[in-house]
Amino acid sequence: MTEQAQSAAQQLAQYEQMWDNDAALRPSRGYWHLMLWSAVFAAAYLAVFLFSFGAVSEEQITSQPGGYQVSWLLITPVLAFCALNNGARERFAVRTTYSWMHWILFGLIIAGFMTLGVLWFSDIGYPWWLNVVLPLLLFIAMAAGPIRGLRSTPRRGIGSWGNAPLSRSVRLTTVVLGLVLGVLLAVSTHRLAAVLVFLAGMVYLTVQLVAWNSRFGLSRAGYAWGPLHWGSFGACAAIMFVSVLLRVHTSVPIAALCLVAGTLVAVIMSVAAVLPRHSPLGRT
Amino acid sequence: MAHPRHDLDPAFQTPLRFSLIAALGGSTEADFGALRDLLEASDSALSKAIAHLEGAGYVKVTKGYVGNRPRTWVRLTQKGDRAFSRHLKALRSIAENDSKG
Repeated sequence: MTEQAQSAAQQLAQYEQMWDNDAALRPSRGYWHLMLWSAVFAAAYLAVFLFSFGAVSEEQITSQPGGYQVSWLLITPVLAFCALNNGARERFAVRTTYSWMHWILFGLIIAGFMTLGVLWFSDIGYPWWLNVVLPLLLFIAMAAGPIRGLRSTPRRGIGSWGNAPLSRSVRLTTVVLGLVLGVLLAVSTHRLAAVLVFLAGMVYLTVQLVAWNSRFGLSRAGYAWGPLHWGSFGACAAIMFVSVLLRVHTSVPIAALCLVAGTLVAVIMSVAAVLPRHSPLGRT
Repeated sequence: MAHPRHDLDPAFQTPLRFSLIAALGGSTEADFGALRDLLEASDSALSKAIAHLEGAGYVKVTKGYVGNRPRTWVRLTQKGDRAFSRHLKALRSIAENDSKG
């Protein structure tokens, strides 16, 4: 074998060895769990948005207490989620990027969403099942990779993603986030109060965006949160989403329901902020 | 027909640069520290390798933050992916031609 062929064979062997190595650059199960969670959150948001606005007439929405302000209950947790998720991704040393196929699919989903919006504003009816298909497509586009990743990544714990006591600044951020979401939901049936709280919430989120790298930033909280905190945030978002659906589609006493649900959201996030009390190793 | 050695890319001729590109794969973005540990390289050697490949347009470097600490992310570009596929093809041809001959 010539020297050049030998060198070529060695390089090829090195390449094969790199890909046979289980510990090679592959995202951890924790990362895949986070990505799957993002897919569930995004698809749920889109579904609730379409079923809240696309499935009813404009008159039905404006006749509700608070009218269009109900959309703030969907937008605020989603904006917070984007900042939190951005921080959580920094926790993992190996991440994935979307391929151009993914971006085309996302573009088509956005185009579909815009088309439904235009149809709705123009009072042109469309089949109700489109409200299901679009979130389902979004879920498939976002969750296919994480599900494949979870199936192919060995089960050795959840990687470096566990619950640990939060720093004082992250606790404060978590409590403030819970208060913003909770108060927004609690007062959402009172037009003036809802406007004021929403504006305050937007100022808070804007400050968060500007100071995204500070220790009080949402990104920092997303980085520090463990599954317990993410689960709590998910529960709060679910309460907000369900409140919106009940408000649009049922005739339950909505002011009382929003007050109770808003209080629950604030309590859940405040309790999650101080948990766990001890780290898994017994240190606080 | 040209000899396959002409398709070998000089950017991948050092073991570290070759391993770095091989480790990244098509849709993965890795932290500098993770790459350093996997490739068992020093910070300076890895920095040089990344800078060389970035200069050739084969990898893209972005900065992130963990708290206040900056973090460096490296990922393969489409150009790098294509160049590495060509390089691997050339290596296979060289190894096969020699074993046949």
